[in-house]
Amino acid sequence: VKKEIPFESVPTILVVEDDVLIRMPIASYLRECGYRVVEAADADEALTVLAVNEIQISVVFAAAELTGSMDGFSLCQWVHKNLPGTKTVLAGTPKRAADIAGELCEEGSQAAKPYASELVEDLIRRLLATRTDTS
Amino acid sequence: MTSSVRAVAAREAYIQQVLFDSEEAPKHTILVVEDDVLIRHHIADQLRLAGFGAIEADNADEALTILIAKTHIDLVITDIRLPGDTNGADLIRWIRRRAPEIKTVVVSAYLDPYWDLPVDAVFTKPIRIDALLRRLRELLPPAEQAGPNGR
Repeated sequence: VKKEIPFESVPTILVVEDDVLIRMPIASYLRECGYRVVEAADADEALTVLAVNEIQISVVFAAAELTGSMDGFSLCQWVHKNLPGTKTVLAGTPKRAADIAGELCEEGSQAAKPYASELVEDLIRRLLATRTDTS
Repeated sequence: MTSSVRAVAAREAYIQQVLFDSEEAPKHTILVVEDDVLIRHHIADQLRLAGFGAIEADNADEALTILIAKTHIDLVITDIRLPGDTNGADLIRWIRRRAPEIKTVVVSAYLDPYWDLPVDAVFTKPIRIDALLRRLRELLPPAEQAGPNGR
């Protein structure tokens, strides 16, 4: 079912998350669901992406807490004010991020949901545990 | 083995499969380390369109975090100048020492001080994607494709 829609016309989600061990599995899952995904590590990177006309972002999916000049709340406020056609979603916890990704997958209809969002949450928890193990 | 242990093992295997080898045929996974979000996105997107799996890291610390998490990585593409305490040259030396099976490719505008880095390929910016893809296909031939348990 996937890949029938031209890549350029697939809705694009901008994932803004400063923890790579959360950003990576969320972005990977959304891609599996058929979305195009741009990854930003902070709000400044997100603003850089949003300024590029060739990249049409449908949804800004931001972590509430972000390192850098702007947190997720402020970024979403900026998007509401400056890009009113762009949807914003905020995730406060990894579990919430996995849930939101699951909801976006169901809305997407580009492809069947490849697997339950609980698996994403499970994977994030395991990835985060590797950091505790080695620090 | 009890059934619950088997269930946990199956779930583990499933997570590995779905997140790191999600297509029908296992594909090679490349870690792209670049602090310019537009260049990183461009390279990673082109890799995905070419059939590779691509993971993105904003700097060398993120790359090390991913490598330490034992995410399956076949090849690392990195810039040399990166923000933070660790630069791309440090990252390559770490990989050579700790994960020598991972191939390394440098994409940088600044190479002179690092001419002796032990890497598999070097590209200067601005990068030509077709040349990069050609080299990656040489470094990661399809016949050698393997999943997380295959190497």
